[in-house]
Amino acid sequence: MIKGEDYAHFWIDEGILHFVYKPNTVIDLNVARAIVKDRLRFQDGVSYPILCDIRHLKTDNKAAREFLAEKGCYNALAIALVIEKEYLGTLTKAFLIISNPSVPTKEFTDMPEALSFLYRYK
Amino acid sequence: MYTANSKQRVKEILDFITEITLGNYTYTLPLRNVKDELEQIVLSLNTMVEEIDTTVHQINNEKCEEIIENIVLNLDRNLLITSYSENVLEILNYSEDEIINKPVRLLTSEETILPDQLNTNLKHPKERNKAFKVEFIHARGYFWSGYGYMHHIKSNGENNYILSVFKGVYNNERQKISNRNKHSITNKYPSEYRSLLLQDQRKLVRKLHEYVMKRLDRKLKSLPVISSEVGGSVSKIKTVFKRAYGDTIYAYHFHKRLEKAYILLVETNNPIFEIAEDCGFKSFSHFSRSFKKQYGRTPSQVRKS
Repeated sequence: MIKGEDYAHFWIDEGILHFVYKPNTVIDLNVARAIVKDRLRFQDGVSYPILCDIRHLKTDNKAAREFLAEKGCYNALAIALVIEKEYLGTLTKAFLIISNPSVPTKEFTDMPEALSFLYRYK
Repeated sequence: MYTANSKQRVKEILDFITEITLGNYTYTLPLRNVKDELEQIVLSLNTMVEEIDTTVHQINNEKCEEIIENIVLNLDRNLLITSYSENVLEILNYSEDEIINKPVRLLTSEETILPDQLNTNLKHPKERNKAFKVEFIHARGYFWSGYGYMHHIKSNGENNYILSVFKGVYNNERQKISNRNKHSITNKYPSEYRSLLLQDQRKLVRKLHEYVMKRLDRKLKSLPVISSEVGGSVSKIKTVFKRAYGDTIYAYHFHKRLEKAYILLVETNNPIFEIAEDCGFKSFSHFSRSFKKQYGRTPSQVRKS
């Protein structure tokens, strides 16, 4: 069985859910489902702003992006994606503009900027 | 800088762009484990081709229809391909000689987990009928990904398998035209150098596999010895074997020795200590411990069941 925790670490710090993908993670639809399921179980019904660090992500696919843009936003007040611009730029743009996540989502290359964006939604 | 490796990668990227230009959006280019400029381009192209696929087929929905491509491979008990559906050659672009009697592992990516005979017979009976992700490697190195089932077939007392893999694709006018011209494209791509290289590597992998399987009754010698006996450098044999079988040579050999022991335990009445020796274990306790670690039961428990 696919477990979300095999693909990402998550913890809560100062009211923000930190979500860090493990190195070389490839997200397909099954992995996306498992990750969201584990995250929702971890949150236990409470909504948080989410700092999603995808700098170590290897790739994902269209089905996973569509799933994450909809169901991946459950119990999320806002999402800050921390990326490595050169590698993940196109993929993140496709996610933000085409898949269009259902909660406020922005990309950042800088962690403090990402956190200050999320503080507004706490 | 511009190395032989990056030259090769640029060639692969150009071939991939040609496929997209011809309206074929069903493949993606596998990513390498580096994040250099070329891999940034590959990731962007993969993202682009998926988005184009969705957009083109939504906009031109009158001219295209969704169809299911289904690849079927018949496998013997060692997972060698004995026959295949006629679309395999067209979709994956191999010749018959490159497929028949070859391990199915050679056609799948490292990430593809095939439930082998023992897993099917042993654990997870509930999961036996679950679809699993299969990534086939196209002759030009692209991935063709779908979901598949492995069916266990018994005929005349022999165990055989059918691997059936499905993928939803769009069939449109442009694709039909590109398929019509496929013959001339095949002659042009890939580069002669690359296909020769792949052919060479496949031969080496086959030789290595044969070498390993003939030595299930003993421990393997050191890598330098194996490489001198099989041909190819130590690093090359390590890399090509891992790529084809998803495991190191020694781990694969060890796993196969335990598999052999399992089969002998179930199918023969040979004493257990004799089976351990036949599978290259000098110490019975080491055999028993390793067996339990692998299958969750001791050899005696398997024998009794």
